[in-house]
Amino acid sequence: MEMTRTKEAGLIARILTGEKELFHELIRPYERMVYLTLFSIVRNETEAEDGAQEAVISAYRHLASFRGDAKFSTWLTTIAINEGRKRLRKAKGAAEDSIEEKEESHEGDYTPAPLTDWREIPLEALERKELREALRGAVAELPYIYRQVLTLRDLEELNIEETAEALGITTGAVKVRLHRARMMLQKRLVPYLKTTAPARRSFFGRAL
Amino acid sequence: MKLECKHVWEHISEYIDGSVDAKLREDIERHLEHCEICSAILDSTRNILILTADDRTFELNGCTSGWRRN
Repeated sequence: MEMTRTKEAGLIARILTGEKELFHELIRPYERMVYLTLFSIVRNETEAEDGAQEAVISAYRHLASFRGDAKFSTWLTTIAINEGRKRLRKAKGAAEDSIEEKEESHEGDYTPAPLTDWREIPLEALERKELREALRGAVAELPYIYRQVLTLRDLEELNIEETAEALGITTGAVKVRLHRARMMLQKRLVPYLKTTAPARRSFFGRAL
Repeated sequence: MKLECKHVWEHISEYIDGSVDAKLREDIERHLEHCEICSAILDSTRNILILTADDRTFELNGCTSGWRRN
């Protein structure tokens, strides 16, 4: 990790002193992350691709303002999120601005679904195409603020602090949203996880 | 302290992230030892998250192919 950071700092310094072609090297490891961030917000392939390009161009233009106190990936994610929000606002008009408040105070049911006929969930069940499709659908249908936190935390694997920083919210809010997002997914996907396979200890032992 | 299922559910996400304090962790684990329902919820949630992190899941019907990929 430290090595990445040192290497990136070196690249950034060289780009800023004129070796512009190095920008591709700097950005390449994060292209997918930028795209997924955009997709998680705009939920449209073309919009996400355009937005990802815009975000990368914006990162290039503002590279001098990156001070190195945050990770480059976090800084880049913030730019991607802002680009996504901009596109969303443009698409939906001013109505989008109030959506966050509304969803945050929403009295939802965030309890998990009990698995009534549970043995163990074999890994093979998780490999099923059907389940993977259901998972994609379930993630895509999460309300915006939950989908965003889940994408950054569980898909792009930022930690709680980085997720909070990227979204400009508190770590407490990240935890609450993440919990709700995960429980909503669990509830949606339980029907796909039921199995009559013989019992065996889960690969992911519960004592982890 | 004896935990009820409902209480365990409230902390599943943080438990998976390893961010509950030692005492609560111990209480949760003691509960899990005898509660099949909570164990199943925990395992299923954890498996879903592992699957979520799995790249293959997020090929998103090939839509990552357009942007400077392939």
